[in-house]
Amino acid sequence: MSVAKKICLIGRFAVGKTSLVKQFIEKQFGEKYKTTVGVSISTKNLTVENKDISLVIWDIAGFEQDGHYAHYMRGVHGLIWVLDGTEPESFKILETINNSLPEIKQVPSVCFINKCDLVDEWVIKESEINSLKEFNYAVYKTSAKTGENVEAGFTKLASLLLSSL
Amino acid sequence: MIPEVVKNFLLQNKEKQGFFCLQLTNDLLIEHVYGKPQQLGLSPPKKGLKVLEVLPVFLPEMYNEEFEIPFYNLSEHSVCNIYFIKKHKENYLIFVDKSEIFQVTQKYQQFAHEDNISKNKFKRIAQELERAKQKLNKSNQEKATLIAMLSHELGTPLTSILGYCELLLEEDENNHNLQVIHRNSIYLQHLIENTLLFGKTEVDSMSTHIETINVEDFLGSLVDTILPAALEKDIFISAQSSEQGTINIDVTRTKQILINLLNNAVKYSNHGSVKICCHVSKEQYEFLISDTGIGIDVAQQNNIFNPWERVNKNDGKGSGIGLFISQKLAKAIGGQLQLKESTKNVGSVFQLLLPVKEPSVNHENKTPSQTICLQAKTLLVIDDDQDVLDLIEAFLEKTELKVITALSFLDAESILIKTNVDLILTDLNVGAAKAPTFLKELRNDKCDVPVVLMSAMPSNKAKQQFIENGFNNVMLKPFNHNQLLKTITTNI
Repeated sequence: MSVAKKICLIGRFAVGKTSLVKQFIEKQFGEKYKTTVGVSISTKNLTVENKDISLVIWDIAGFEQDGHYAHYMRGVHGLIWVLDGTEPESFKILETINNSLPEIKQVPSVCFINKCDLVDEWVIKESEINSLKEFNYAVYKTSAKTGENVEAGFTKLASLLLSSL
Repeated sequence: MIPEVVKNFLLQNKEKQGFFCLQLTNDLLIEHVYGKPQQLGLSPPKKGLKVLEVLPVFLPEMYNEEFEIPFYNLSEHSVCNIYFIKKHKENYLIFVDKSEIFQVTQKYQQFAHEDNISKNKFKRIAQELERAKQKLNKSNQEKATLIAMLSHELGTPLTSILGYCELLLEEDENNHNLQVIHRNSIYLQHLIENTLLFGKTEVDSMSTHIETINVEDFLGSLVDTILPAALEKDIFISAQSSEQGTINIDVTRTKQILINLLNNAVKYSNHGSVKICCHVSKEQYEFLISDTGIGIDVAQQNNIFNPWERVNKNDGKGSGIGLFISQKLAKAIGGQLQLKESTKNVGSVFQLLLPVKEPSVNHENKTPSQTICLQAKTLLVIDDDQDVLDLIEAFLEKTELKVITALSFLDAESILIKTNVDLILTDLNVGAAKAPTFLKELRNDKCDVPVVLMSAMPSNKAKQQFIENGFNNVMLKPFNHNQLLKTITTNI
């Protein structure tokens, strides 16, 4: 019997949340940036460690408006923090949201540092990535474009959700 | 009929757009469908079905309390606000069409985000450029410091080489070997001066020091400087001025430029003559340096003022920075240096134009005079280089001046306690100690003996600063016999 779990992707605008979902579900990538307004919800069924899980993926608009995400986070089971390796500003979201919604610290989470294909524009240093360890998240350098680590990251979160049952 | 509770809810929430509503049992079975789901691109759900079979994306939602999901993207063009409300024992899932407002919001948000992305990109590029600029400035500064230090360090031994050479030539003026050493030492001095200037970042904003000088004396001093090299090659050198009397120029810088040009003229001539003319008018001074040398190819004429460009790269002569420095110097003192004409195998004419300016305020207290009697006067020389001390003693041997030397400021202080001194001549760096600190201590002890600084830094700005700091004068290293005497008689 498959279990359905609600997971939310959260991060600054233009970090690639929608593209990550598209890559994970459709194995596709579109070059053109189209901003998300509100939320898009999609599902994907996985089998992890011989257990079936249905991930109900909430792709939420960029976190620029204070508190607009509270509606979407209700009853969330897992989180994917999406940061952008080419945009240092995107790292601030972790602290901001953890401070405004302290209860989500208990939610199983993974962290994607996206756009790892943009080697020349990558500005995040290893020391900054290591500093994320304080949040106790599994960190993946991902590329929504090439698909690098996308499946692995979602699967890791699915595994965390199954182990928390 | 739409239930009153739904109508009231929509009214309270000011939701006026199209909607449809599912009435659900407590087991979340669909009891009724109100409105037209087709408007939002959904097929009408059948009554009796579980809502989660119709909308599986809401499977994990908790239906024990009311909730709201704004701007739920049903599809690319269909967007709605979803409300789950519980009234009495009835549950309603309401879908309000937000497609139109979504389109507008999406458009503005897209524009704002793209604008933000571009701004961030530009900001990062600007930061990168700023970092690169700072890095470049730092390395330029380091390079300038290194060149300045090297040139300064080279200046001290050169003082001894040139000085002792002059002393030996006084005894044996026809000694060819000594003449060669002397000539090359002067050339080396010239190279060091140019290199030092090349390394200076502030050449463009260099302060000028305008002095009044007799034009014939000035031209004569230039000829004297270049004469040994010209004689060596049997080149006739001459100077001519359109008028007699005085001119107001930055003597040091103008001399540097003209010596550079005259050196080149001699260097690139194998026979014939080199001539320097000065035309004085109300607005400007025009110096023309003409030679009968190898000339410059038309193709090369535009590049000769670039650094490291040389007329003949295979002749092993020169560093290629002389003209570059000269042009920068000319610009720095408000003038203009250009190649007026040049013909291959006929010769070249360079023109230096300088504006007529008022002389600067003279910081020196006394006018130079070689006639001051040095009898019964005492000079204290401080330098940590014994060779320099010996040289100054040797230079002054034939005068009636009493010369006392000290290898450190500590020694100098002991001497000053016991002896009346009329003038102190000190190097800038003596061991690890600095002359400005020594001077400050001296003045604190109410000692008002004039102090002249010896420095290998030819910058007018630095000289000005030393004088503002209390030094009576600055003598540039390397110096010759005459320059030393002139400095002493001026300041004692």
